[in-house]
Amino acid sequence: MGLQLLDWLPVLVAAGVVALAQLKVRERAQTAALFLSAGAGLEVVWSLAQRFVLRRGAVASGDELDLPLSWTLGPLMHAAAVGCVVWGLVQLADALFPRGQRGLPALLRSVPEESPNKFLLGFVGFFALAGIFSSMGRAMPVALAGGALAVVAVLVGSFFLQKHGGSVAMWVLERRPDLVVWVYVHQLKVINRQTGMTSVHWSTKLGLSNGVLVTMPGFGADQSQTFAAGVAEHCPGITVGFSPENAARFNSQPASMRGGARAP
Amino acid sequence: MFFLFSPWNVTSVLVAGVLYFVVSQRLLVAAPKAGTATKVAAGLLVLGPVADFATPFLNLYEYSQVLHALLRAGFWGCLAWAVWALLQEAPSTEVR
Repeated sequence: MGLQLLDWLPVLVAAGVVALAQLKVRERAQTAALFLSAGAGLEVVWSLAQRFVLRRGAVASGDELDLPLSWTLGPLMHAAAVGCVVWGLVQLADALFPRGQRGLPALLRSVPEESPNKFLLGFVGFFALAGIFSSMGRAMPVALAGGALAVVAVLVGSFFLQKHGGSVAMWVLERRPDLVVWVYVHQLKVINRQTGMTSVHWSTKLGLSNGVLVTMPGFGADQSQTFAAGVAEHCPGITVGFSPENAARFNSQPASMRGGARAP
Repeated sequence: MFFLFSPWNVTSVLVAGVLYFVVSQRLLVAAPKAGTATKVAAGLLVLGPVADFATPFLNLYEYSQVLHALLRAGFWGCLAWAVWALLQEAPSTEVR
């Protein structure tokens, strides 16, 4: 009895997300409420379908394992449900914090947007598909196809999210510039001891009043310096430049960095 | 081996990765509690495959179903918490 009740718990919580979206979110962000409801609703409908429509449990016939449809399509449905909720969360954040009236200064607009790391997505995708293939093999082609589709859907969704969501640093500067209290250019020098080669990575760091440090990757020293100057112009009164004192102050009282002294 | 690299587990780990490295970073700047909730949700998603891996060693067969139900409920609860945290952090729209 207790186990059966616990079995229903995820369905009830997902239904709660639908209720939250309809009762609290819809009045402030309709699109976000739609995606949140669709995602959590899909989870509810799929769970109910698994219990009442689709058969449960694997059936062994000879050497082959006949997996139920619910198990085969489950990962894809889960990925779709979470994807909808995630997009709803992103839309909700955008709707609750709209773009400010004053636009970004020219210095910030001139910096190119970072693009998603396609190599990383391909790398992760290759090993994910290899893992599924090693476990499913050729004996279960339908389950293999369902799993592969789910993996591809997650990777494409991640790419879409990064591509259309834009960079976090630009989001802050456009929608919550009041949070920015500190900006500095960061240089990371990596020396390969075997080959003796040195590579330098530049980025701009934005310190927020809630203690979060946001990184804006740069394509070189000039671009990072330009971006930092643009941030200082867009958010007057913030602390500019790195020093051990500034870092200690940011760690202890980040909000006090606004109106702080400029570091050398 | 079959259950460790099952489509369910592989997809869960991938979704957890996207939640932790992409979504939570974005929500963290909007509302820190929403970012934390998303990170916890990602952690709960990863615990499913970890439980599957540990099941034969710790003889968790009897509790596996309960454990997965709790993890799934916790995951959706964390997403609800993230939505709530965003709503709380947002500026009020009431006209004064």
